[in-house]
Amino acid sequence: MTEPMGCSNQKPAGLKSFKEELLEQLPNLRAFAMTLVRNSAYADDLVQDTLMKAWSKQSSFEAGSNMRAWLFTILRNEFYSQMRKSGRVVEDAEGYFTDQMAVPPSQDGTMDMRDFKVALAKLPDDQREAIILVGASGFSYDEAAEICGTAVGTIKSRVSRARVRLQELLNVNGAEDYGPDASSASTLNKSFAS
Amino acid sequence: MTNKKHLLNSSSPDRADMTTSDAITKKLRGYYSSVKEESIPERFLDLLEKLDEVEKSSGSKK
Repeated sequence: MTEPMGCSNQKPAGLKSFKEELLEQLPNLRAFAMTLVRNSAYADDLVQDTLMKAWSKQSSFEAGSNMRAWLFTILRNEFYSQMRKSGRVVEDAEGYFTDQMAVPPSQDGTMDMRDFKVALAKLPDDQREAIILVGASGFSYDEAAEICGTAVGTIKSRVSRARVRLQELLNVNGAEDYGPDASSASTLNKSFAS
Repeated sequence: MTNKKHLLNSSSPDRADMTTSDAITKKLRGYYSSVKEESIPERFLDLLEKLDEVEKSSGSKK
């Protein structure tokens, strides 16, 4: 918004091409897709559809604005519109959108990645996307609200409900649940809170 | 593209409860970054290459 853009179809030297910008955002876009829908084949299809949509809409992208947010919005819209078209309801998400896998119970009470993926897949879509956008993709509540086309307060409440639900599903209500891991867990958390 | 960063780096106080990391957030970020670190599948690189070529070859139409 502060960047003065001259003639928009002229590409100043040193400015990244649209393709380069897309490439740069690909890892993030994929991570969003993969965490949003756990079926990895479907997630990649979604990324592909998003890239094609983005390409066809590239003239509507405002140079200098947030490319990541723009792409995430497209991917999200694709996801919901495909769900609507196929008549899949949110409740089906677990069956269709997640990989089939047998999950052995954790043996030592630690929360492993598989447990986490399963728990995340159990969240309602709106809560899952909210916690991913704010908790992992690095968007502010404002940005997440814009991506989801909803109010900031709604995003906040979805994030907090998602956290509560995940804690319930994973049985991590407090440090005491970790038993011997408690001290290392809290050390990790401290180092993580930067 | 410098001002692309300001949105992503903004540390609004709104986000405080998320950056106060707990087991959930940590796990979520771990999962997310494990996908992010995967190498980009060929199909996407090919696709972008093709889209770019098509655009260049039909450049005169625009």
